[in-house]
Amino acid sequence: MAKRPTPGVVETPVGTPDMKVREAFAKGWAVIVWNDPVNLMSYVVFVFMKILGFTKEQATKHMLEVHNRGKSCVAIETREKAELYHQQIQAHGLTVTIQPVDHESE
Amino acid sequence: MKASRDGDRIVLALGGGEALILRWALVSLVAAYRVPPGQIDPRIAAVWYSRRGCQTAKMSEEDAGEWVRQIHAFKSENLALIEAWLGQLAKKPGRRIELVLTVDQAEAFVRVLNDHRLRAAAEHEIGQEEMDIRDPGPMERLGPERQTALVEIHFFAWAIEEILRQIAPDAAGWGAGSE
Repeated sequence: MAKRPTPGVVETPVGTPDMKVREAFAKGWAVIVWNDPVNLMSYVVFVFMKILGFTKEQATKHMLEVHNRGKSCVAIETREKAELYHQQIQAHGLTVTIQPVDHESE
Repeated sequence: MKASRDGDRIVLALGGGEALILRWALVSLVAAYRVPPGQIDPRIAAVWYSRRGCQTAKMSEEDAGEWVRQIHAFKSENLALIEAWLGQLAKKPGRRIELVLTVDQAEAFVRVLNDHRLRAAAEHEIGQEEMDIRDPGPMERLGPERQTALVEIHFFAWAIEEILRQIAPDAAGWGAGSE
């Protein structure tokens, strides 16, 4: 049964621009870099330091995770920031995906 | 090839043969960067303009198309630089040549060489098994075209490593092993 609107109260329907803005700025998007046979280990460390601002230690840890486990979650960010990282990392030739954190373990 | 640093300039000293290989790679990259993503060999598109992340991000077809166009624009920004490098390489064909880059240009140079490696691997179906080849027997079984591609991939890996030692010493040192 449809809910009757309360007089004087403006309800925000699902999927409105307000919700899209909230979703865009909620920090719930994982940036995942995947292993591939061609990119060099040194190059991957370089890209992580340059784009993600990682220290040598952070970059090395994530590079080794990609190498040994096949992937590494390198950032959990707002959708907007995750999309930026996604594009920058892909432009450097690494294989990268973004997805909501709930699905990160898939 | 030997890379050295002189202040904010990176100097690459190339033998005649190395310069020819580099020149050929850059010429072929210029041609490939000029091809719109929708018209490029799908094997190259799969590594340069992969939409895998667009799918997991549930982007609309229109947004994914714009995303790919922006990556293509980013790559195309290197065209003028590549033409300038080709100009330097053309000065003394066949002899020892110095290619001089700023540090910023050296970063772009590394990205461009990496794009060439990715493209060569995609075009010639070079995967982990081929990248791990160290003995002559398995190498010979690849056939001449794939052998050439594999040697080029390893040559440019070494070149990238040399340059990273100059511009990002904290990142370098993992050798030319693939990720």
